[in-house]
Amino acid sequence: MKKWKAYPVNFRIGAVITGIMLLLIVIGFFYTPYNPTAMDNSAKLAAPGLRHIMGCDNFGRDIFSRVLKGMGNTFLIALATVVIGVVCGTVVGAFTGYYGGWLDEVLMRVNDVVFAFPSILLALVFVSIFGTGKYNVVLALGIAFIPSFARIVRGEFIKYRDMDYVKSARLAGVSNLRIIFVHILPNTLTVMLSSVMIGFNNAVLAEAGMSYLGIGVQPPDASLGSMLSEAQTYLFSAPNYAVFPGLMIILMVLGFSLLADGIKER
Amino acid sequence: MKYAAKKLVTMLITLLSISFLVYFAFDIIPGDAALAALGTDSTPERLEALREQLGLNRPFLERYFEWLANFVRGDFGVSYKYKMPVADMISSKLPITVMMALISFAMMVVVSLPLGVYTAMNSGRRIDRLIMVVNQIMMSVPHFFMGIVLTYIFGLVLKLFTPGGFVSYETDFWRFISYLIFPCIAIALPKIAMSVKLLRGSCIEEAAKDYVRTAYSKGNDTRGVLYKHVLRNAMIPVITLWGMTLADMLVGSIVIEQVFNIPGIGRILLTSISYRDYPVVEAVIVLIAAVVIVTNFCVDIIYQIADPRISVGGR
Amino acid sequence: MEDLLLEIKDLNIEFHDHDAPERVVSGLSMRLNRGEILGIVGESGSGKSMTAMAIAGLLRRHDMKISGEIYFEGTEILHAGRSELRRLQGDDIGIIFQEPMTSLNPVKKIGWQVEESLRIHRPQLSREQRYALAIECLKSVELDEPEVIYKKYPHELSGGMRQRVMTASAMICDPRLLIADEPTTALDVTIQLQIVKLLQKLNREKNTSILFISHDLSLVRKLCGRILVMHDGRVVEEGDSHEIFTHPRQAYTKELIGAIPRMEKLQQF
Repeated sequence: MKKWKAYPVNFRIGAVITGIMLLLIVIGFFYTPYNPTAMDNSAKLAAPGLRHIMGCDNFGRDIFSRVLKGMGNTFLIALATVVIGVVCGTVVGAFTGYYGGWLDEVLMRVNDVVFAFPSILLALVFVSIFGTGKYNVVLALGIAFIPSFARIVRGEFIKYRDMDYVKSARLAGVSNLRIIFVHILPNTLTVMLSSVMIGFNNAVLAEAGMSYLGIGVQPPDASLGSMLSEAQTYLFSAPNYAVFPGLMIILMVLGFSLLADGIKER
Repeated sequence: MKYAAKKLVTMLITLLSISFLVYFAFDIIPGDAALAALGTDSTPERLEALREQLGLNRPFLERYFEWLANFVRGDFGVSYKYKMPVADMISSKLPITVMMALISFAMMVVVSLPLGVYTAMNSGRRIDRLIMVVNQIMMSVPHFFMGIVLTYIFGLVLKLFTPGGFVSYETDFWRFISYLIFPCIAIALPKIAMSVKLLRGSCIEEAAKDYVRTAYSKGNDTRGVLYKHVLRNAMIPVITLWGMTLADMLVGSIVIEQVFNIPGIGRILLTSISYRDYPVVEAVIVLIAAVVIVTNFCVDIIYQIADPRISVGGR
Repeated sequence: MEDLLLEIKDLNIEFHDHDAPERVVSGLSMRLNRGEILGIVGESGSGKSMTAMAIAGLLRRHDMKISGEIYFEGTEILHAGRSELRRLQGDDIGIIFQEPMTSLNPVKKIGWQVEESLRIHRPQLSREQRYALAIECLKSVELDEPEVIYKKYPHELSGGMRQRVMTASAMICDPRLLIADEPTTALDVTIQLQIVKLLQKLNREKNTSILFISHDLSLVRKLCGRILVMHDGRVVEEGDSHEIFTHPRQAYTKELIGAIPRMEKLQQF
């Protein structure tokens, strides 16, 4: 383990921000100061104070509790999206990169088609066909993320497949599958790591955008994006309603991108 | 030239595939034009008769190619809800969205180019570090939240514009532009941050290369080395980013139109989705995807001009 | 009769970018006459390239400490201002670098790069005059079809051709001093000999003084009349190249000569 001071400043700031965000998210899974969906008529648009540290929304719901829940939702959706993208992208990239040939040609063409299709647009197609909801958004964003990961993994596999240690493994009779997953894949992890983190950030931003448009997480379930959409109506009287969810999105993304930068620098 | 031809073929195949996939996707969902015209309480016989009349019972491929042929000619079908040609609905809105994307793009180029070079030349100094901190934060702000913040500061507090207000370009072009300024800033800011970061890094990387020393050895001053040598090379990765960004901005304006209440293509798309007005959704999605694909094609061509090392064999 | 072009007195270069200062050149003095080819030999890290950079005015001054004097045609240039240096660079002093692969700008055409010094130092020339000079210069470095080469990009040429292009662009203003910093190291042996012959020809025809820097003693012997042997930033031996080869005085020089493969020693050209 390296000493904490030995890491770049960016990395350390990113680690602190991400740590705090993850802590809040975990707390939000088990405990929120108020029920995030409980309405309180007497506290409508209450200003931040001792009882409600971030104030209340137009239904009198505690914004802090909703922010905690919303962060959890955003985090899980982004995570699921990235998992779909990474797993499928790795499989596609590994096989196309390792074997090459017509399989590579065909899958890369498909890849190009999906890549050319903007992720939000794909999500909108999914939503208009299957209806709104977070699972459709996860599926759509996940599919939209496959090509970029596939490209990175494919590039790495092309680099490794002709290396001497792979050739000698092949000569020794190691099966192709074992070469792909045991001999080559671990070597691509460092390259993957920073693109996974960037992908995670894109997923957070995309999810927030979807929910803002009202096609992601559905009310009364909380989401940072949908909170911003509601907050906009009361922007003049209760700017705090917009500020806190927005700030949380920024901090989540900022923390992760600083971490990713730090990893790349090392 | 071979490179351009290859890219052109790829572009056409991609366009065809996407139009096919979108048409296919909207074909398999329940509900069609006959159902939309007569409503769910109509009798199956009347529905069937109308389907026959509209040609909805013909084989899928036949309908697809007819739809495609019409689409290319600018006939995008008829809206279920408004019973008017989709082309008429879109044509007055398209300029708004395209204008927004173009203004945002121009803002990004005009701001990030000098700023990226400036920070690269002053890298490590206090001003560079300050700009990079602001930059890093800007990159993390979602553009729609930026839009909300701009609305609050410049609309509600400083009262520089009326939030939710809009003037059509047909009424008063310059007031139309003035209403687009803040939405465009919201779209452009995160992209400016990204492109400053990339250009700065790219300039610093290029400045350390051997050909820069050669350039100095010929008697170039710093400006000459920067403009004649470093910048040309440093721009190559930036061009790729900008190409992707132009497409991003077009799609991003769907969200920003909601923030600033601008009646553009994004608005039509979202309301059509909620009304299940499929011909409109289909047309808008294929149209936006087509613009994105054509943009990517143009970027590939510009890329090849910028970097002579790219050839048919490479990449 | 001596005709002095370049004189270095007590040159010291010290790096300060790391914690402990590192002395790369210490107490170097040398003289180069007009029309002379002087070789500087030494292994990597001996300070020979740093010396070349100091003469060409290409040292990054802010993280190093430099002392001593360098006189070019009687003018001190080691501590001269940047603009004064720029007047010499590319005009009176040309330089060829070790890496022909990376020393040319990848996105500019060959012709543009060969003409660059002309545009800077001879702004009065017309486009046609520049073109004619560039073609002539490409011809003089023995490139076939200079008109075709003129329109190509660096990646379309082989390493040897690129080094000829580098030579052409360093020679286009007819400099009085050509510094060749390991110009052949990255090239095949046959191409190395061609470049050496080319430098000899340019020296003969244009009376350009050449400072040839190399770790390859056998090449230096073929080209240079006088040799400077450097080791650890110091000159350990200096003299007539034939003399040094047949009667090396220093142990280090003997080692260097001993390191030449036997075959090459037998080879005459």
